[in-house]
Amino acid sequence: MDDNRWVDDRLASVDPGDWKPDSSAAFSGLMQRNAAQAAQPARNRWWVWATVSATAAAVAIAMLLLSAPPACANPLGCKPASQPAPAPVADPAPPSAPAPVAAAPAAPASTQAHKRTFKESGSPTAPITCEVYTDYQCPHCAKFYTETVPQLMADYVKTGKVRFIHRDFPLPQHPYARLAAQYANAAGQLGYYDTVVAQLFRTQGIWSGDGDPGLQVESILPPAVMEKVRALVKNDPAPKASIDLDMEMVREDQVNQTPTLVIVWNGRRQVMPGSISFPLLKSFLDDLLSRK
Amino acid sequence: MEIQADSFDFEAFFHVHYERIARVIARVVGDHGRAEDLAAEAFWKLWRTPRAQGESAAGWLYRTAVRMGLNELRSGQRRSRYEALSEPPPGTPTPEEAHASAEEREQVRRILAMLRPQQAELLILRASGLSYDELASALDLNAASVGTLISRAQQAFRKEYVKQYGTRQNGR
Repeated sequence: MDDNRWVDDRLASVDPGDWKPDSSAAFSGLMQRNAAQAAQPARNRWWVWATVSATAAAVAIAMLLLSAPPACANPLGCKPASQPAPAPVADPAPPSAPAPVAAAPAAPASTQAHKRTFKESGSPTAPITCEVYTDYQCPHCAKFYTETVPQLMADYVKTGKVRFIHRDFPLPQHPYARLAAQYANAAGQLGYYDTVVAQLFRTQGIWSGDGDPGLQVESILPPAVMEKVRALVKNDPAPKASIDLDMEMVREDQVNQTPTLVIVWNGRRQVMPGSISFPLLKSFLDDLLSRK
Repeated sequence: MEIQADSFDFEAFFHVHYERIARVIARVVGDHGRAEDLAAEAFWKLWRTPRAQGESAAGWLYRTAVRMGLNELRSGQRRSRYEALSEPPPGTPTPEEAHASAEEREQVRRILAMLRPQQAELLILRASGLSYDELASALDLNAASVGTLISRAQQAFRKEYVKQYGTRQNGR
């Protein structure tokens, strides 16, 4: 008998047979573990946070020393850092008047994040905050937004249990995601944020193909409003600035995919990458709420 | 910062891979309950490691799972108890058959624990049904060399088995 067959026969003896593990129960267990860890009192994990903070500080200092030598270290020369590439439509002449968002002093994202904007829903005093990073061209985000978010809104946000914040994370491989976010943010300035976000996700397959999210937005907004939205997208830096603020949060939370949910509870930010179904999110939130 | 292509649906990924991962670990450690614990631990690590998520997540997960199983096996602390608690042989074997079957499983696992880690991982994952491409991805190998490496691992397994237990039983 050759080695191949002989070894296969030996290894077959340890085959688990007909045993079929229960993935649903296992996944629920995983979510409960996640919830339990998120809810663990800070005093029980003070040493973890102390260690993490000390390590982060050491790394930050090392990075600073390495990346900021006394001489200009830019291999391309001492030029200002290049600006992000402009979105396809956004190529306007400078606005005639300074825009309020662009003129605002650059504060750290974490300090600006608490300011209430059109991207935020629900009670500011809700015990839990759910922040969702999405990319308008991401199909998983569309699914999450059309399936999970409405139930989250109905059961938790409108009942005062959860504050909800939508954040933009246009991925570089999606050429129209940033433009779509600009349309949503421009509409948000005029009070139509939720309507336009829903429309963009609903018609994602159309405008991802023709590259014109504005056309889909136009189909649901009154003409006069749409005219203002287009003007804002074209001339106003605020819709882009809103994206940039969210991108600062992307870096702070170390998000690297969409959708990503961040649950803020008891002063802790729990980053949960990937699309999460409502039943699982519900069990997670209920668990946190029961610990009040 | 690494930007992953599109999104990683963790929940869907979990349900697709959980059973297979748990069975891979069960093959190594023997105890089904412990296998489920370790499988959950492997997914927990994946959940907490965003950089491992994406296209290569399956390979990362199989590699992690089989290594966790082998580490558990090598620790050997609770293995005897596991054997006593689980894996009843199919049907209604005689006490002699049951003893022989349990002994063979014990011997196979003992040999796996003695092999070089990569060889043990290859044999376990191959026996669990992974293709050559999946093996290459999971163990970070050149796909063209997987066949050769499996063959060497099989030779090493048989050599060690015969060395430990002689040619009696099935060691012809």
